[in-house]
Amino acid sequence: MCDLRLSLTHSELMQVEKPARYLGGETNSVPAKREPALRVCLVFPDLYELGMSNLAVKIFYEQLNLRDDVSAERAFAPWVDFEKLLLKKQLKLFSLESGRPLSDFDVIFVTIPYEMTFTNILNILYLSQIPLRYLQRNHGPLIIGGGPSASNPLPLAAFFDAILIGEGEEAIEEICDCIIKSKKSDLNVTDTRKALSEIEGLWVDQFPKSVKRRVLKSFSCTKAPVNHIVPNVRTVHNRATIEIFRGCAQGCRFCNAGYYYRPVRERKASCLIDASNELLQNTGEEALGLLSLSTTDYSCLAGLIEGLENTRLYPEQTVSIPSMRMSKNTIQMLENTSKIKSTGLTFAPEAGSQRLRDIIRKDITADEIMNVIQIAKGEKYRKIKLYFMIGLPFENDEDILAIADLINKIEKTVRYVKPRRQINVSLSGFIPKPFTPFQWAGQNSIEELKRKRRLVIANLKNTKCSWREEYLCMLEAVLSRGDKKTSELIEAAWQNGARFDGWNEQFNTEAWEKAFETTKIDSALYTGEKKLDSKLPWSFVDFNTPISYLKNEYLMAEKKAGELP
Amino acid sequence: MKKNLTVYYEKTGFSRYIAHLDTTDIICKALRRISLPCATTSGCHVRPKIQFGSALPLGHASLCEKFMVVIEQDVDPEYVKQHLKLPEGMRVTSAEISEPEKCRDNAEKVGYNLYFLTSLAASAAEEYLKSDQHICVIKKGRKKSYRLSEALVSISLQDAIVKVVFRQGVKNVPSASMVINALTNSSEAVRDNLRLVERTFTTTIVMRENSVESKNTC
Repeated sequence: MCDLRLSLTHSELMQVEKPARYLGGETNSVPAKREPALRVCLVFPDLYELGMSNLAVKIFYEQLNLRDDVSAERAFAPWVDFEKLLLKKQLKLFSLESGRPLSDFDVIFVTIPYEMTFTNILNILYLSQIPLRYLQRNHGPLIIGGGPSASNPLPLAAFFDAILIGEGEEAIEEICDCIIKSKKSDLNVTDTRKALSEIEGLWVDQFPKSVKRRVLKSFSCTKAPVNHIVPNVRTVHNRATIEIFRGCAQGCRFCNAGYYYRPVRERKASCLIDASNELLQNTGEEALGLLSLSTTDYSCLAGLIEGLENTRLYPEQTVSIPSMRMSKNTIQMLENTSKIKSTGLTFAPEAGSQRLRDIIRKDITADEIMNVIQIAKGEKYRKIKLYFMIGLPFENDEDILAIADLINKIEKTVRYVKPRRQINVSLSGFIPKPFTPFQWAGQNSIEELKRKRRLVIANLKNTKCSWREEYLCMLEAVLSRGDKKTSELIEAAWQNGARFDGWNEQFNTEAWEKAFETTKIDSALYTGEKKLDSKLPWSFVDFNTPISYLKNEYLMAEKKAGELP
Repeated sequence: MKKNLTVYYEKTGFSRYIAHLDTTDIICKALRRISLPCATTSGCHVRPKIQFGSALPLGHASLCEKFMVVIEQDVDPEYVKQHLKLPEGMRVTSAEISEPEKCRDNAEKVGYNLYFLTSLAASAAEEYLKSDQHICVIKKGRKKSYRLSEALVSISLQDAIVKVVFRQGVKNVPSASMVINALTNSSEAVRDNLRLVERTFTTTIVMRENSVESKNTC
């Protein structure tokens, strides 16, 4: 096997940005095994800096490499300069551990974290010289995907041999066993796919049947991975992360992740303290991120933070709490954790008015928000980030003005104590995601989202505000609510040059416009409101949440909005 | 009693493509992993007291990198050498306890081996470096011109290797990195045949009134 990294000359590597992204050799990375029964490549379809922050990659890398019969390596989406270099040299995309071309692996597991990486997935296959559509593939690696953005697998159906719905820790072991068995029995690709379709949670387009979302019931008893690779390039989240619980106790009606990771399963605080110390000892990271969908809902958070403080390994150690609710728990935590350092606080009130927060089931009140801000205005928090959504179902202009009003109040309170404190506000358009109570809701048109965004900004006093491009919101809605025809759209956009769609500087509106035109796909069909009794394209997926529950939640939202008696 | 621990290390192989700031980050993490009793800075953001040598340009290998860390308790330098785990291609070569240094000299002599794929390209590179070229660099938005010969201390050619000593950190003298960049931009033949840029030694130049004295640091 040749190491393709050695095919690149010094001057070629010097022409790409951050060449260390592609060369591996990091502390705690596992060298490729010599002759394993199965060679796996874990692919994250975005840059190294993002992929190395992704928890799924860390979990599967550590888990699979513990097996003697499996060797797991990594690959990430190459940035445009490296893509050009690979094409110029006619080199295939390769793994970081051994420089082995992706086409030489037995299976490629692709994490699908967000819709804006879909074109990157195609680009990775193309650069690996692997045919894009599974029906064109009779040999070579199996391409298996999974992740929150594949909960509706239809838009990617044409490209993947199989897509896992739900959590992967148990399923990935079963998939590896199944492929090893198929290899030993010399099964052809079709028969292997057939065998894979028997695994719970795994949806195989060639052998379609209803599929049930996979849940790791034993999560609470599992040990968090503690041997994270120490990246050679600074990542977006430059810290060690530990998942304290999975699932979300809240029931926000717009949130796909809240439903994807149900039910709530907590790890014990004592186990987390031991694992955190082991993790920090193994990585030397300065900061520890306590990861979950809503960290302040963790039942033993105060005990956990105190335990971490009492067993602190080095003076500069900090704790980062990325997902906080503006609730009583947060207030308690902020009051009790004076010794824990944090540079910033991030909150997502999502809506400005109480009426709309009730409709979307974001159970926080204006008083709670202001109480949290009052406490957080202390000296140690330099940055406060606030996330809001616009275009939510049953929203009116008063709700939009309430966003500006709330931000202005927060700004006034915060600046009173520390005039130079940074407040960052971010606005994003609502996306009606599958498997949520709002899956039937329609999305506002691009023009309407723009109008609402301008209305918020016009009413802000001092705060700077950033926002997500409205076209991207529309696109994300199409890609998440898509059907099999959407595959054509994704492929056409990729052919037109779409890559790194989540990156503003790379997003190519023309490529997508042209793709809509050539595939004759009307985006309004995907973004529009759906009737409650209509059959949804993704209804073959049993999400472990009865459809009657989702309908009831939607009707309750409608009732709150006063549109139902 | 606070002391300095000086750690010397190599940065070769693919690790030469790790940028300087990332390297400092990696070293700080490696020090935490061996629980080194580092002294820390005071202030809001507590940091270990570490001083790195001049930044090694991206892509340059080095056999003579070093950093100094202030320690609060005695440590065995040999333990640090054996246990400090760095990425593939980076290796601690030695470590020693020294008294804290008060000032840091920026002026230094640096030795480089430039490995070429062909002796023809090496010879072209030698010729370029020997010629009294002016090189233009944009610094803080301003175009600045340097005489290349100001940086050159000695040069020799051995098959396909150009062995060269530069001085840098002195006013109106281009850095070794500027000269090597200018060299690679001088012709395609030189650029495409340059296989490896390897720093072999660094010598601090102690500046005194009316005299310059060299102090071997590595």
